[in-house]
Amino acid sequence: MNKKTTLLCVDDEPMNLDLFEINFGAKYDVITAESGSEGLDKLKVTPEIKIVLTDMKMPGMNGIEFIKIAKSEFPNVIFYILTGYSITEEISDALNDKLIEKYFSKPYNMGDLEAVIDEALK
Amino acid sequence: MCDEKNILLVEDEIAIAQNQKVLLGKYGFNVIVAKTEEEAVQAVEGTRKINLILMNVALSNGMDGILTAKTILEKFDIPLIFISARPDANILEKTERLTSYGYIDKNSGETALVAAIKMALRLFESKMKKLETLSLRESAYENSMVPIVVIDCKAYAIIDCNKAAVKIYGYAAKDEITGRTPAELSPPFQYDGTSSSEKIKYYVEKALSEEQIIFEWLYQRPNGSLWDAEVQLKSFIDKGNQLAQFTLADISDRKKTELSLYDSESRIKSFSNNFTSGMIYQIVMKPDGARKFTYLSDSVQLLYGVSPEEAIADETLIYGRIYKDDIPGLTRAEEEAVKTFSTFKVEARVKDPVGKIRWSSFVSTPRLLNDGSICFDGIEFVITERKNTEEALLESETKYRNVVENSIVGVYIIQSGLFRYVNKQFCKMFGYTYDEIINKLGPMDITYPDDRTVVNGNIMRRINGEVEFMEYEFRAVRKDNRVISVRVLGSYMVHQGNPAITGTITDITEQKQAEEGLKKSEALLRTLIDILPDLVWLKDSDGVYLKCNQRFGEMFGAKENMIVGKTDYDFVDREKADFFREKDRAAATAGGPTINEEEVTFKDGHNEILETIKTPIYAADGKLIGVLGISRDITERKKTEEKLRENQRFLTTLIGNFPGMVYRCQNNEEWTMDFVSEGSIAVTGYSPEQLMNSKVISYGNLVYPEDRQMVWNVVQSGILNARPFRMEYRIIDALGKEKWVWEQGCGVRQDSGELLWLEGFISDITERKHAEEALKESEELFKNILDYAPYSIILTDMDYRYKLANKAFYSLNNLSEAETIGKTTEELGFVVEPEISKFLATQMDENGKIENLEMPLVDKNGRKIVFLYSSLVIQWKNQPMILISNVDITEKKMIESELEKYRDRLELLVKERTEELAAANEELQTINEELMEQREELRTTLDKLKAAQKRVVQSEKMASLGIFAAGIAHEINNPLNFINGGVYGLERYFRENLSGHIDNVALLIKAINVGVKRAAEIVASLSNYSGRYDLPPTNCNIRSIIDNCLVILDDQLKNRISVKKNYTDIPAALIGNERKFHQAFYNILSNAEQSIAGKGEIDIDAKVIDKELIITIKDSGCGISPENLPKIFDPFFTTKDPGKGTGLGLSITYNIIEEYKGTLEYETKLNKGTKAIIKLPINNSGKQ
Repeated sequence: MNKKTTLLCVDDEPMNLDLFEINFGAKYDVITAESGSEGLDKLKVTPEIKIVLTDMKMPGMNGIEFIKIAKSEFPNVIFYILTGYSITEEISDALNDKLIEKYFSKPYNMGDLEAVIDEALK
Repeated sequence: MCDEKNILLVEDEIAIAQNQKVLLGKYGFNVIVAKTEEEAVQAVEGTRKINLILMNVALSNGMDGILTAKTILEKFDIPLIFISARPDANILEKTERLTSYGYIDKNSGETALVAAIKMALRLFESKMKKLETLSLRESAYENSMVPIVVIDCKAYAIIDCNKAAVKIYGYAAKDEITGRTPAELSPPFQYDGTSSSEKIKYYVEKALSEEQIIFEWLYQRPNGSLWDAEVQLKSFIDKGNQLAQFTLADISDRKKTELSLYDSESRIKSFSNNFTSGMIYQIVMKPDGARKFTYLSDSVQLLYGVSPEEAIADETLIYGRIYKDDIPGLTRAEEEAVKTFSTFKVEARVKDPVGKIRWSSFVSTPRLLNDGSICFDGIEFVITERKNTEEALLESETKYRNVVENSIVGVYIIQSGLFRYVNKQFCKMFGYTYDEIINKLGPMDITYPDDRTVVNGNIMRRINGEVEFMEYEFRAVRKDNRVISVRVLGSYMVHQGNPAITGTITDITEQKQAEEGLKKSEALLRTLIDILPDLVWLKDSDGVYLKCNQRFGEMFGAKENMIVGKTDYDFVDREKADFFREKDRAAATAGGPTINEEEVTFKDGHNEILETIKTPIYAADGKLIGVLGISRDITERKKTEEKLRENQRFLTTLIGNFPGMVYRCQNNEEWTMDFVSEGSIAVTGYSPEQLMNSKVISYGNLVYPEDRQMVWNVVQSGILNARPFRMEYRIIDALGKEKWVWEQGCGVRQDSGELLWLEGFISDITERKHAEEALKESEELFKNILDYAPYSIILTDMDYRYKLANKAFYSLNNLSEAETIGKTTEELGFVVEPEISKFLATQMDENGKIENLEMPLVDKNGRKIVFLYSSLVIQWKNQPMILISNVDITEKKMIESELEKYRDRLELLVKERTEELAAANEELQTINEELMEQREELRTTLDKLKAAQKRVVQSEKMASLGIFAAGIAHEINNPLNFINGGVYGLERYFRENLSGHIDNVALLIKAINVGVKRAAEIVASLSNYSGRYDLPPTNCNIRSIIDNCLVILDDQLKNRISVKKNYTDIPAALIGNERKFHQAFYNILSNAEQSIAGKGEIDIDAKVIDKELIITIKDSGCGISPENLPKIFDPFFTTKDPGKGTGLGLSITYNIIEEYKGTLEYETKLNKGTKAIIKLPINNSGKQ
């Protein structure tokens, strides 16, 4: 029963996805998606996903647009935004509306990220 | 008392009869024997009372005992026992039908017989007692003064009622009412519009479910008159039938009182609303001197600019407006008036809502209230207008006469046996016309024959002077032969030199009838009275209670059985009991009902005002049984009456205080007056009596004939538009003098909209009119004089705006009055040279006048004119004005100058030439100077442009840097993230798999992490250009922001640099982003600190000049070299060592200050120090 928690990481940079798998693979089941729409497909077929980390700036739908759709279908999943900019109004609204738990500015510290996820899963 | 009972024995056998007589005699019975039916009947009818009959059934002489018994019992109620030797069923049945006292066998023996007799006597006695009670109750019900009606709840029909009910319904006999429904005795509809028959059903149904209800009902008597009843309805069941009992009380009077209260209130209201040139008020002064308004008419809004409610809540809103110097006069007048309770009148100045002083007249009458307070009913009149023209108008008499004569009393004068004068009511009372009586009828003609002797005697005694005054009653006969009872109050008088008698006469027929009815009624109220809302009781002539109802018991807090047998002295204090006893005696001696009112405290502590009717009750033999009392709670009615009286007093005082006449009249061409106040004497010379009902003259006749149509039209238009009418017109007064009056009034309508009458007041304004007319005439004269002057005369205000001009002015200048008035000379198209205007103004200022000044000007057509101008400051209508006269001397001047021209021509030509040359020279010089000036100006402009361009370039640089920074931030952050993630992964890998080597790579990993961190910081500070971290602007405390920066820099400053702060008195708040301000000041202060190598100082100064906050930060540092100064705001320009500064600080600071519309400047001297000057506009939140 001691199954690993499942994470979904969404980023258009495959490099970032690889880094997630390498750094978090030992601790979590890491599922990756290269766009928002792929992320939604993954959420639909993988009900075990508890945490979603998504990049903000992506071709097609951006991180917040993706979360808005995903949150309405999977209200119990926890979402985090990773952004190359500092905070924007869109992110600030998402925080206020409790769409996302927290946002991380790039370059972020993987250790910090891990600590926050562990805290949220308690 | 002889207790022997008489027994009639009907027995034809003598022996048996004798035997029985002896036998019964032993038991104390006296036996009378009858042998035949005749004897038996004789004995019963005889003087001796027969207590019992023993009847033999079978009599041998052929007579039938049963038949005999029947004959007797049909006439008499006597107990009867049959005796028979052979009782059989047949006989038993026959006798049982006749008597219930029994049947005895002849042979049953002595004991049985005596027992049967005793039993029968007892039975009869108790039956008699019961009968007595029954008839008593019936009598109580029948004779009760309270009208009671019983109806059948199924048919809603009346099945019974008492005498009082028949009377109150206005019928003669009970059978006229029974069988009808209460709705049939009522008008078809009740006040609320519901049909009477539906509504009575509703109430009866309600009474069935609620047992007892009380409601008000409108009834109609057969003569058509309506009356209001308070009905108490209680349902009960009698012999299986559902019945209801109505107890009625006539409350018409109460209703009338309520209606007249309403009428009185609405009159005050209508009166107040009519009265807009003043204010009606009522103020109460407590014994401690505190004042409070209790009433103010709506016009207080107009006169004081506050609503009645506001002024009632705070009287200083009114008192505070009275002119300070006039308050002692007002107070003195009030105090005087209170001493004698007389009306006072004071004139005082009051500040009106726009701050102007007006004159007001306060007229008021004090009266004392129950609690010792003094109430002033008063009126404030605005009299400013009157003051200005003439002295106050004549004051009217203050007393308001009781205008309504008690017209229900007839008045007469008799002389020489004939009536010489009677009033209307007298005629009405006897059904004659005035002419039919006067000098034709004598007192005997209207007197009932039986009473003529008495009446004649009384008249003679008065004529002979035996008595001066007398009062008596007699029966009189009307023209239609109906007999009425009247009461006369008469006295002796001299009429036209001869003795006569005069008096008043009142119709007391109804009163008499009522008294008759009362005399007849001999009642002990009981059965039905317990449920009455009234207190009912009966006392014997010694004041001992015989009966009382439940409600009466409540007063003493005791049940009936506790009260009966006792007197008032057992329940209330001696004084009160004496009072009751006194009233009881008075009622007994009066012989009829007496009414008194008293306030009574009930046992439970509440008070009621009771109206008590006490009626002596007599037994059939005329002996006084006692006094019957019925009390009704009239507390509410009393309150209403009190309120009505209060209102009437108020109105009375108001009307009396009017200087002028208050009226109520009909809307006809005579303006027939229903009511006129005493003020009519002052206004018209006629008294109210003469004017009312057009007795001597109609008001319409007083109106000046030529004004009558106008008056009629104004009034009708006012009525039509439901607005008050106001007008001024002339009347001819009693002395034939023409007078001007001012009238204001309005139509008073019923709720249904029908016009009832007109109300208003009329005051004398003759004096004012005369003054006005005189003024008008004098103005006319003045205007004529002006208009016939051949030259222009103008009147202007002090700004030279035309107010008036004469005919000559208009015709000479071809102008109309309309285009002239209000304009100045210049606005009319005349051109006056400025020097001349200036000269005129100076002259006027110094001397107040100008005489015969030659003034050239140009008119609107460009024609040059010369006027001989004179002006003078005068006072006109209390205003300083300038009177100007202009005589046109253009022609004269032209001729003069023509001559001069010829003379001076040669000289002039030479002069002109010289002047022309000089002018040309001068012109050249001027042009030269102008060119020089322009060159200088161009140079300045060029410098300004250069500075502006520099600023534009700088801000352009900043803006593009912002966009650039934002763009690259993301692109750099992403690869930085790869590095971070990668290093993190590597570190983990080493830790997990190559832990032996971890120490070897630790420094390498640290180097990568530091590199990434520094790169990320540069990117982050760049993003400050992008304005991405905008937060909503707030109030920022600049002082605490600077303080805060100094705290952060404290480590670098302490023990090295002294900071002088001189910015404590600047306004702290600026609107903006606190983080940005913080960053800007931090950068400047940080640069200052870094510029100082060893010890030094920083001075911070701040001041406000022209809505600009100017902060200077001066350091004693190394300064900036002249070649570096222009570059200090460029991004990435720095003189610091690598890693110590990005070169972005001042660039960002510059950007922030510019964003808030401020400026940042640096003044510097190498090795001496640098001064940063920051200017920020106050109240400017910068870009939003």
